[in-house]
Amino acid sequence: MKNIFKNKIAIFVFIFPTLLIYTVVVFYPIVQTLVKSLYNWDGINLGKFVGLKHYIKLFTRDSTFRVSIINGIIYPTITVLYQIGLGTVIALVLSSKKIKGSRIFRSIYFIPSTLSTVIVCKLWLAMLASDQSNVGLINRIFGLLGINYSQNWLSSGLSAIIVMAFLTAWQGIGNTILLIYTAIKSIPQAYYEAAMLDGATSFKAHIHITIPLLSETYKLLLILIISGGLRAFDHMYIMTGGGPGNATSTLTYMMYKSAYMNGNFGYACAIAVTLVLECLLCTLIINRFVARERINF
Amino acid sequence: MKKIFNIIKTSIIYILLILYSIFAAYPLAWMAFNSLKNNEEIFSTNPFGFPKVLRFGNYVKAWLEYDVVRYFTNSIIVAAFVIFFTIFFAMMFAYAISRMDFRGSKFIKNYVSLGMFIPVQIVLIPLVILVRDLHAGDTLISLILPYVAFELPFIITIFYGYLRSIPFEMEESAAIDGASVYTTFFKIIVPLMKPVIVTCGLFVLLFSWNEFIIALVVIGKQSLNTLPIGLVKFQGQFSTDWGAMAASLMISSLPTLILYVIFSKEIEKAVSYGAGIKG
Amino acid sequence: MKRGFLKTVLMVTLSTVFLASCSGGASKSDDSKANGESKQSESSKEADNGENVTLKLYANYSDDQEKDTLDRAIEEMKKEMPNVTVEIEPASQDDGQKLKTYAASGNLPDIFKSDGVDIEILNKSGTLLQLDEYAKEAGIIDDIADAYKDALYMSDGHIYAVPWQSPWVNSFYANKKVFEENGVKIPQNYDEFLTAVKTFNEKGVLPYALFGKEKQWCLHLYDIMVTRKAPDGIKGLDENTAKAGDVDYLEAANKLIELVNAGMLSKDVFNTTYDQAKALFTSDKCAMFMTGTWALNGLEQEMGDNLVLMYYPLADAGSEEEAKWNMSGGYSQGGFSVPEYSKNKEIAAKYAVLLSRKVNDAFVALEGGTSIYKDSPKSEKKLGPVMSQYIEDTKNFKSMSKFDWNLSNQELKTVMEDKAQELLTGTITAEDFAKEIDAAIEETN
Repeated sequence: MKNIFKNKIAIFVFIFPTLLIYTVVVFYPIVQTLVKSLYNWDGINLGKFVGLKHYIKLFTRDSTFRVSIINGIIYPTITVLYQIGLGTVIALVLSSKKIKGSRIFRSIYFIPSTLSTVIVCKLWLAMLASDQSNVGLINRIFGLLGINYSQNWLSSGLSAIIVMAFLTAWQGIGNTILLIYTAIKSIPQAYYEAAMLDGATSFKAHIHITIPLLSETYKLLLILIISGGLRAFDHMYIMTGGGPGNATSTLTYMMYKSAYMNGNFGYACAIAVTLVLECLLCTLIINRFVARERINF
Repeated sequence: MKKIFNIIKTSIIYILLILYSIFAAYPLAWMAFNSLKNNEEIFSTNPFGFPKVLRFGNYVKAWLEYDVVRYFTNSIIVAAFVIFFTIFFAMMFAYAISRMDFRGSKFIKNYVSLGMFIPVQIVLIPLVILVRDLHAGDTLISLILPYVAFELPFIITIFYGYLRSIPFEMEESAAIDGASVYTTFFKIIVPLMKPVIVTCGLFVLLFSWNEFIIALVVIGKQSLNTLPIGLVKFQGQFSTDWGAMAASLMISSLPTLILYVIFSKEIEKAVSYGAGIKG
Repeated sequence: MKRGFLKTVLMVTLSTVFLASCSGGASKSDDSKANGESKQSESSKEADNGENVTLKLYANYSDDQEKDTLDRAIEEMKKEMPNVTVEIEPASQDDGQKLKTYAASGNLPDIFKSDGVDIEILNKSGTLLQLDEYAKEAGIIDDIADAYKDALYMSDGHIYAVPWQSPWVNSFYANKKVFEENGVKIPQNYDEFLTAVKTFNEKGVLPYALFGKEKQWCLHLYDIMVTRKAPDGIKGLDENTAKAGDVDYLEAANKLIELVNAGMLSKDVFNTTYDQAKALFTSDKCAMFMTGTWALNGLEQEMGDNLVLMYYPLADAGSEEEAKWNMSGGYSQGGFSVPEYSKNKEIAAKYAVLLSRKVNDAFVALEGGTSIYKDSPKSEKKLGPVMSQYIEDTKNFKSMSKFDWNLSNQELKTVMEDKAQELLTGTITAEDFAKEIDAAIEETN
């Protein structure tokens, strides 16, 4: 009986297509990236082998690198708090039998996820505008509330990073709600019935039953959101151009800039490798601390 | 007393849910408004409200000058192939590493999972060279291949988590009845995976529909451009017609939106089905 | 779990080393170049037979101005080379990313538009076809106006692209109506400019629309300020003949900070696009505006006599006349280039050279402006007084700096753009600004 799980041919048939595509299209280019981070490469001719020169410059002299690393901490922190925190609350509320129209709400919350990043960014740029002649919706609301808080949210590095992280989460929360909601719905009702018999409130039941059972979903979400945050690029590219100055630079943005603007592909590869290592480190930490069961990821 | 308290509580929850709905949905309305305005109204005179004059000309312009039908067809072809291959390969792979028993399965899984952390931009140049070497440059395969490859790790991870939560007894009983591994997989496992397949199909669709950078650099032939690239046509070196741009954005956003609404019903059904099996 | 993970990392590392030693230094573009050369002899035969050839052309072809100009030029080209058809790929607005990717994969179109910076990078890698002979044959070298001859040659003394645009400058424009309504005098020098900024601010009118989202325009503003005293402007920094710490440069940075703190720019300046800035200016919501003079004709058509062209009212009182013709801007280096490995490189080169000229003619005919060739065609449109005056004024230009996109030191350029934008936030001192730029000059030279 155990034999069907050990059928060598079947195993090969099942894993081969993925392994092939992945190795050729993703892995091999990564290796190229690793190798070329050790060269002076202009993207066209492979130049001189320079060893760790790019890495040394990156870690010792590049001030944009420091900014990018710090942004790489702030950005995912906010997206995680927003997406997983608020996402869990909304998913729990919507999964309650007492709330009607749950599907409509989920559909609406998902709308931003169906839009492309370009649209989302353009839209929020207009909403955040703070010009005297063109006050954006957000600042107008602050005005109506009598709070003198009209400001340009993107003109200082810190607030710009926060705003962009917020937008990423705003757009991505539909996905998160969907995943958490699906996971909640797959928890057998019997678990709750038992808890209710013991007199637990629904709040307590969620804390003690739902959330622990979601740990696998959380782990996946954490990895996705954090690595997504570390490699954030689109928003910076569209909204701030990494500016003012280089205040909203991220590793991916830095990489893009040194490759496609400075033509320094070797240096860009070194940044890319650093980024991959950073992501791996985060995964390692998440695996270590979030896993309750022995889950392999 | 408790009843009143409950009513208030429920009302507050509804109000909050509705507020967040406005927060989430207004953008689309804004875009719809913009698609009927001219530049000046968008940027200066009336950036937020309903258009003063309905300029349907923007849509005509978008439709005529912007090769909607062709880009649309390309996007749909790409999305269809990407969804099919990604889901199919990921299912098989996830099944093998989560339930089958062979040496190195964990290693292979970690190997593929690495792909989730790879920003597309990093491999862009090697990718373009690869596509050229495969002589796929002038076909849509040059998009389908990288899209499938970059979505696989993510989808596999979701499938993997899901498959591990299905009890082994399901297949064991089938195996006792003498079913082969393929029969077991297609007849028992695949139907069980329906909810997660629908959800993942949606993710893949969104990715492939909105992906920009790969499409920008890999596709050389204009007739093979997908929708997002077509949108770039509206950006001149220094000036842009935003009304027509918004109209074209509307045209290209609606399909994913509509498909989502259709899919989301499917998900609802699938979710309850999935939950029923396990309970 | 942990061990499996570590194993993966280990495997990645090992295979990297393995593959690194295998792939060695073999560069993909080498063989593509070889391919191109082997096909070259066939293609020259083709040309002689007068067979039909289709060339890929990567050019600006998005807004109406660009389309009209290129369409007309290609129409003209049909008369010159009837057996050539072109397939246009509109250039995308992506900092040359697509072009560089094409270059890296050996896929450059037969003819492509290239800016000064792209040419430097591509040329260093030996990708570009020298056009010296073709330009001579087509009479370009004889016909080009003497003043623009320099723009033909790249830093190594060869021609890799024939320019199709006459030199333009960055200029300031004022909206007369806004000035009159607020009772402000159109400024002539720095002090008056500062006063105007302050007055507009008090009245709640935006003094100056800069589209600072494009960092190069922040740098252009700095360049304009610098060129009041040091005519080389950012060109001097690019060529390592000046330092940002020099007195004139420091003073310019300090003045910019003063203007910013006086409220010259909108709070949204770094999110403002060209469209937005222009809309503010033309809809009388803002007093002043800056862009290249290629937009002058269009602005005049839109605003009529409301438009005032200002030659940089930023010099110190008393030295206005002296600084007036120190122009910020310059030759548009770059034009249409041909990759060394084009399958039809002979025809492509011939076509590219002639096309540059036809585009120049078409632009002059349709949009006004000056031609870079001696026998310039007449403009078909009746030019407005401001545009006509500008064309007259070009004769007085004393010196030119460079446009941001024509600087040759790529890495310095990006640092300068970043820092110029930061300078306009008013949050860094002129000294810090200078220090960072000089450090970058040091590093890259």
